Amino acid sequence: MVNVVKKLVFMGFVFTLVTGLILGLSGCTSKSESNEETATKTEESTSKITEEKILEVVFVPKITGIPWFNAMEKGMKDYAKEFGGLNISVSGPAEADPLQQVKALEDVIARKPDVIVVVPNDTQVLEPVLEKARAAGILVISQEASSIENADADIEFLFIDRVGQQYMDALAKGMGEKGGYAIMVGGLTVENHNARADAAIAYQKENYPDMYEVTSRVEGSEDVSQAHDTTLELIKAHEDLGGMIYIGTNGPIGAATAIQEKNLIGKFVVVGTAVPSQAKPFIEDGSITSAIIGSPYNIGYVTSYVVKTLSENGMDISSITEVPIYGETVADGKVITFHADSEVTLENIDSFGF
Amino acid sequence: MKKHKINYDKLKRTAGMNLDQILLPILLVVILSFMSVATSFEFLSFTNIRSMAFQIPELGLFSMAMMLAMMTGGIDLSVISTANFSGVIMALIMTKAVAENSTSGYTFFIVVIAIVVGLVIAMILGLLNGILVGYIKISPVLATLSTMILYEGFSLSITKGKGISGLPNMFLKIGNGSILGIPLPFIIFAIFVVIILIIIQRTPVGKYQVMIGSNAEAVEYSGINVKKTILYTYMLSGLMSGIASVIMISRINSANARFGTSYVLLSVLIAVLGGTNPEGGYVRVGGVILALFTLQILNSGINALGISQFVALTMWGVLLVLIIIYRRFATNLRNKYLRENARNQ
Repeated sequence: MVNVVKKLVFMGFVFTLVTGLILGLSGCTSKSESNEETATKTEESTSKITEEKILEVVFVPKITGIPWFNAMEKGMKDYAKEFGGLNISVSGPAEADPLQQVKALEDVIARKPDVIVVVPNDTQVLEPVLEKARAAGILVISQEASSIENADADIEFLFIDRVGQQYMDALAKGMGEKGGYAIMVGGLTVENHNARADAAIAYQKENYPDMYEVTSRVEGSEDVSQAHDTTLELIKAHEDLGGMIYIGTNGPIGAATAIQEKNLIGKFVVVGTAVPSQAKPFIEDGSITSAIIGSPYNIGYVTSYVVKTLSENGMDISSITEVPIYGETVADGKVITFHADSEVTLENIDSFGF
Repeated sequence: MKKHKINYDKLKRTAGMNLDQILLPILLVVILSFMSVATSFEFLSFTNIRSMAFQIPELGLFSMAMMLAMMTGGIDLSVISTANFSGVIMALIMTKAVAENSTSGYTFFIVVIAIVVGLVIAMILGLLNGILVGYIKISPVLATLSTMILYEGFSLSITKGKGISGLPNMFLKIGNGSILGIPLPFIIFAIFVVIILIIIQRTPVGKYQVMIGSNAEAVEYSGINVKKTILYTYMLSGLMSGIASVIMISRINSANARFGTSYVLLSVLIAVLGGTNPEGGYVRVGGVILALFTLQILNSGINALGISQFVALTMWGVLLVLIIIYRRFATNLRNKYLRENARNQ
């Protein structure tokens, strides 16, 4: 009897295993099929226009399988479907570990694609492997890595001044352009967050003279409970505090739960960066006054546009002065910047794709 | 009587043969063939094999470090923290002492000093683990989990969380250069595998290590210094982490307190897949190497086919479960034979 049970258990495991393998394999076949599908589609569309070579583009995100990069991938692929000339595949680490990303890149380089689009976890760490990629004749285009050396071009999608202005305008609108405010960043050493905060303050001094900072900036916007606690502490400590800017996607969520608890909806203004799907219930009840963030789908779409344009015009970066969706760009050396951050409203919230 | 004897020989052969030894090579060949066919033999191209040979050494050395601790019935969760700390120190020495205009002789000198200091530090950290496990008799999981956090704390307090980069070009050759087309890291890895093999199979210390893993008390009573052997084991494990660190930081031109944290569990996985008994007392270096290659081939193959890394993770999991079940049945079978054997005698 025990033997029978054992056998059954064993069979069960074998079954699981086989199913797992089949799923894995079918995953690969269906994937390659869909690749072929898009490949043939793009072939059709381009062969109508010119006898153009289809560029093999591999997208290497910081980490695969998170909504931000999934949406970006979709945007890139949709552009390729629409305009042809690009065949986009994704290969990235399952964890946001720079070393795993190096390994993924090594494997990608061995496949010899035409273009690698990479979002580095750590720019310094990737330099040697990207050098190898370029030595192998692969075009390297990075995203959010303006200090990178071994890339042919870098794409940035944020003007610090403009986002500071967006935060402050939203805050001022909510507070009636007067009163005390504070800014929370993800960490006091996070350069980018501090730059945005500086920009917001500079803009306020110029345009909203009746507003003032009640305290120097605090940290905690990467942690929901820290944002929650710090917000409550600040409200208690400063009676004149009418609203806050949260730079870091967990900040507004933590703050919103805090003001829900204290019944301050409509009395305390919460502005900041937030993931739309996460922020949705809070935007609905007004506990988040304004969420501002870029749409990864659109960023992916524009990234594909940049890749296609650059590879067609022989890497003439300065020739790109305008991109679809976002319009104006600034080219500085090899860095191309456009501004993707926009306000998340109840109408557009589902279009962000994450 | 005669019939009985024949039977005994056969049983002895079956029982003596470890069934794992057949499984891993078969698995390797199956996966390699599948990947080769699926990529229409792109996979066997020189570039791809070279790319894999560049990727194997770090994880390989960490797996060796893990294997060493595991064969004495322990575990070393601090391998990555050890490597990162020694890496941070090496990077600090090199970036502070070598300037752009330094002569190559001077640079060489500093690079050598940095590597020696780094390896000594890695061994000292291993020694600390050895003292905690061997002398103070703290359970290896607890001891090395604590030192894992402690060593990471050391590195973080030095670097404040930032990476140290800009290492001398001469040093970068170690991680990125090759001799006759064979990546230098792979050669270093091969050398240390041979050294470990010699230690385990040819030296008394190696024999004691395995014996301690199977029954520490009995070994103690037979007059072998168990504490000292454990100390040596963890120092050797530390040294392997240090060497992994040299390769790692030269490959990526920077050191950081938190690189490669995902390697901790991967190295446990590879050591166990390779046939190291997690309870100690049994080890097969060849098996660990096979497991390492199998997983690298699986992973690179999946990347080459453009399949999501999550499928890779799933497949690794499936493999692990399969092998553990297989082993369980193989051991049962073996024990059954051995029991019957003993009865027949």
